[in-house]
Amino acid sequence: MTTKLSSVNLFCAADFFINLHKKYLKKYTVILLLLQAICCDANAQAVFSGVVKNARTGELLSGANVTLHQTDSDNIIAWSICNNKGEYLIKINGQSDSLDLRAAYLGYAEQIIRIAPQSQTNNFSLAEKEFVLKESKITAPKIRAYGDTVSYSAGQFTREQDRVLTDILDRMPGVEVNKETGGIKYQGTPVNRFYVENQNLMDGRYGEVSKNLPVDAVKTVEIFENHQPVRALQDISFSEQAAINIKLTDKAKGKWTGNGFTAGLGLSPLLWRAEFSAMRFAPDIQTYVTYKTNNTGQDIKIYNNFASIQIIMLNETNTSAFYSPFISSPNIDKKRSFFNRSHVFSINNLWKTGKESNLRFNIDYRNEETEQESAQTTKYFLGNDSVYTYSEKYEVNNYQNKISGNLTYTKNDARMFFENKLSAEADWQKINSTVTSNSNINQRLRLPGFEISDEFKIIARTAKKRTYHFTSNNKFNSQPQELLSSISPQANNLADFSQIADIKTFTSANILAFGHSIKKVNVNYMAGYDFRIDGYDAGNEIFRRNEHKIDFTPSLSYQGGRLRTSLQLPLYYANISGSDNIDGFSGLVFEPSLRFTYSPGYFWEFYASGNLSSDLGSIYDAVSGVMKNYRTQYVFDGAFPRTDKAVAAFGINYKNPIKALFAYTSISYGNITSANTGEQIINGAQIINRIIEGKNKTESVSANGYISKIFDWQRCSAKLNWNISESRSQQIQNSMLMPFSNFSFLLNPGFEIETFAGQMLNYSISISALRSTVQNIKQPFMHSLKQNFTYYIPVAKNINIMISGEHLRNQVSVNQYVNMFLMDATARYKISPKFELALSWNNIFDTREYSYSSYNDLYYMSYSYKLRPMNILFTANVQLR
Amino acid sequence: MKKILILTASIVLFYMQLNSQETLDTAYLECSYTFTQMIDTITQKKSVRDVDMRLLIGAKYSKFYSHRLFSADSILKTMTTDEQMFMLSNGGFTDFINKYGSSEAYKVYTNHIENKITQTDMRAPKNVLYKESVPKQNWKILSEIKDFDGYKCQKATCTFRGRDYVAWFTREIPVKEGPWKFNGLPGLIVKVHDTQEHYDFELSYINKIRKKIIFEEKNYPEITLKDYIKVCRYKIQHPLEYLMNSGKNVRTTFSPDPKPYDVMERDIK
Repeated sequence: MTTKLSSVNLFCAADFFINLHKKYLKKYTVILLLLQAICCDANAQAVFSGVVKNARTGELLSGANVTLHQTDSDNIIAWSICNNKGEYLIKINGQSDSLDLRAAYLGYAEQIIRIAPQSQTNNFSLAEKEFVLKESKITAPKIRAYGDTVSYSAGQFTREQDRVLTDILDRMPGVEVNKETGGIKYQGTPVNRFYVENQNLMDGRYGEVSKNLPVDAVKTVEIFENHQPVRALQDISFSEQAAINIKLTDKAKGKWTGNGFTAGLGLSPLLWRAEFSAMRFAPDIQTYVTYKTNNTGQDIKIYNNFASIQIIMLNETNTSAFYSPFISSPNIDKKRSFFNRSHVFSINNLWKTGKESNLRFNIDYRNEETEQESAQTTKYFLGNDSVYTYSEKYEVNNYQNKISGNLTYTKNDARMFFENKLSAEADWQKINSTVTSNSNINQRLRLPGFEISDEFKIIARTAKKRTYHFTSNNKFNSQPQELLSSISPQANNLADFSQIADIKTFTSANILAFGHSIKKVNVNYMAGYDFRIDGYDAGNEIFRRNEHKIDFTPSLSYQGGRLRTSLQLPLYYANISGSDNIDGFSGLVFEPSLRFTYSPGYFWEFYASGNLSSDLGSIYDAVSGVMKNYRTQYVFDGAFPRTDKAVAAFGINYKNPIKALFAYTSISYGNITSANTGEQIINGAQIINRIIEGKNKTESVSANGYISKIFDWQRCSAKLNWNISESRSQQIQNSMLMPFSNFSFLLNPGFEIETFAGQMLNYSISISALRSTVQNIKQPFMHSLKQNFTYYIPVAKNINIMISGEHLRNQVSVNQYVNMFLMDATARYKISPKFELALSWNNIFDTREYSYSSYNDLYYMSYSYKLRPMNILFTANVQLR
Repeated sequence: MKKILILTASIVLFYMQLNSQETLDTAYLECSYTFTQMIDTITQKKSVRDVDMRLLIGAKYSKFYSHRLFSADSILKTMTTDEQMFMLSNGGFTDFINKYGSSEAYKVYTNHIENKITQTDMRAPKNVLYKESVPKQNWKILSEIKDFDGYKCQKATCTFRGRDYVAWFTREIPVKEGPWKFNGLPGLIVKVHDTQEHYDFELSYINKIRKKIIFEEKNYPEITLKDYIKVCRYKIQHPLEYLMNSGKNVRTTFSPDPKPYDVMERDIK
């Protein structure tokens, strides 16, 4: 009490001085406060002291802090930081109530001792406890770059509406994600590896993880530029592709995470959706398990994004693509026109068997039934302004059962790379289609397929940067097929038929290579022997084709300061023989390729590349007389189907992680010369696609570009894609040679911005124009426009609404446009951090049909597809965390 | 301006290669601060000078430095000298230099065992370092509480070397460190600024790590704190002469103006 009074008096005295001169004030106040302090000291001072130590080891904790509080209050009255000997000392004045003395240190649990306000000694023994950072916006800078790594901090790219990894990947400048397959590109080039915590669990099927890994489990997304996945080759040979690595938050590491359980029901018709997905990424084991089913139009197919990266010598031919057109996909959000009943099950596991080795298996099973209703009108330009028009209505049912799996062992250390991948796949596909035209047509296609393959690769490296390399890839594929067509009444030159064939293929590709380095130049000599045996057995007609290749490939690569160059000179001798109905070939083929990449600085990269390649065809070229569908027949009357291709490309990449600006542009020219020319014979509804002898040249030029930037303002991000291409070729249509060219242009800008507190708008527009020129007569431009938006509104703390819409304006004939508006809305209610309910109202305007047109070589085609009607879906989700 | 920055950057590069290194400790916590400075005290114009001033906290040592300068350096290190010159002289890269050129070039190493601070600077105008005892800051903790991105922070004030500072610290991260020379509060300093708001550090992110704290400037000649402040003040008040004295031939067609602000430790004359 006395202290308070004295201070009041003293301050009154100070008041007097303020009026005299401000300068004196400070001095006097300081003196007066000092006096006051001394008085206090004399009155009632309590001293608290002691040491703080580690409870387990007894180590004195220098730097620990001890704070004094009113009981059960966070407000600090006084504090002390422990000195080198772990000692603390706190002095206070005049306290009457009991107090809390708290000791805290990073990595230890806080300890609280309740004390009386008298001088005393208290020693603390703190128990060790892991320090966990809060889930907080205090996060890393957006993009960091060091050496060949570009690192994106996930938190900086996450918005409230984001749920899974793909949502944020697409926002990262430089990174593009294919929404359907989950495929990832960096600076326009597909990535060659997808790692989670540096392990390759999913291989090419990584879309499953990126589409199901919750955003809050992701800490950083790293891009390794020019990634060489084989460690033994890391400073020897480089790659032009990048890899992506997902780093998880401390909380998610080693724990089960994933979308957990989702169950939904809806109307009308009766809709269901159920999903379970769980994954765990621990240091020694990684697992991903999922089961999904729905009839809501959600595509749950597991895509392999590395499927195109195939063994060089094996010409892949997709048998089902041999038949056309059974199922086509409109250029609209797939879920709108996809009528399905799908089940997918997948289990994936990776064990680390050693420091640098792992064993992995992946098994996928899919059972799917889809229906599609569509109508198409095709106009065939027959020359001399004459046009044949044919309209057909399709109802297609597709049943597919597919199981695939692989077992892979990989050892990847600095000295040796070893990998063996054993894969098998079985597929039962049955497509029934009813076509209504002038007649009623029933088509049935069965494609039961089976494939087994083994890929073996070993690379050893010596201390002198010498490498020895052996690869052997072997594959057996069996794909019997059955196409039946019944037509009533028979009209338009169409007839019933049944076509049954058994197709079997065995391929083997073997490579032996030796490489060494002379300073910065790496020289590689590769010798290979490949063979491929194909059989097409249609009962009355049998085709056999045997292909042998002996190849020798010297290659050079140079990696200096700012220049990377690679030159490959594959020369091979090929021998093709077989049954009498197969054209033979025997001769040398040269396929050189050269690429220069020049980086004047960190930001820019310029590249130029050129290559020549040849394609010697496959058994499918020779199988003459085969029906592709009820009205299209393939006839081969040509010479040996050799195609020579020359490609040149030039491109520029720009990246600026500091400004979050990434861009690329490239232009390429292609010249394809084939020994044969296609002829189309239009005979009523019947089409004969005939291959006849005669050189045909196709030239194409295409340019594309991309630019993407993140702004600090209003959490804005913007993207722009563009593409221009022109191709020229020729075809014989009803015995008339018709040169034609196709021009296409596409511009696709988009942005995302925070409009009001927490509300996010995402908008993109795509403008395209197509034009065909047939026999030097320019057809009119076909325009189409597509606008997409999503708007996210956080209504309350636990409730949010997402509205999304599409506007499409498609040209269906010269002066006729069709406008289409599609809209969906979803409301979500988060009951707890783990449990969420959602109600979706899809296709609010109940748009039932989608139509568009396109030019394809010498046709004008206009399509219309049936869309899913308005429906409501209620879902509940329990997350794993 | 561009030329000066080019020059500065090349000086940095040159000296970077000369220095030997010493590992002091392993940091367990990494904090990044945004440093904002009032670059014109008359118009009250503020500028973000560095978005990534990094504080590494270890058991015995802590280090405070510009990570942007560090990463600019690591980007430059991946290039050849020709490439660097190409990049630095190419107009398209002015942004790069503008961004990095203005980064703070000092580093503060705090030895908590011996209670010593070593500050190094590679642009003063040459490499220098000075040593002092960890300065005692008489913090007063106030009852005001504020939330910074989920961390409950309490206000504290102190007067230090000619300026009055306000700091916000959080007991949820119980360490005694803060940006620059700030220390001694019972929790990490999340934000600190002087009452006139000439200098401001604010935490932008925090990360648990295991990273070496490396002392990179072993060979730097030692000067006194007073001399160092003198140089810094001279650099602000006479930028052109400062540049002339940096030991390189400088040809400029303009004269940089004196800066309308003072050093942080303004009572050291």
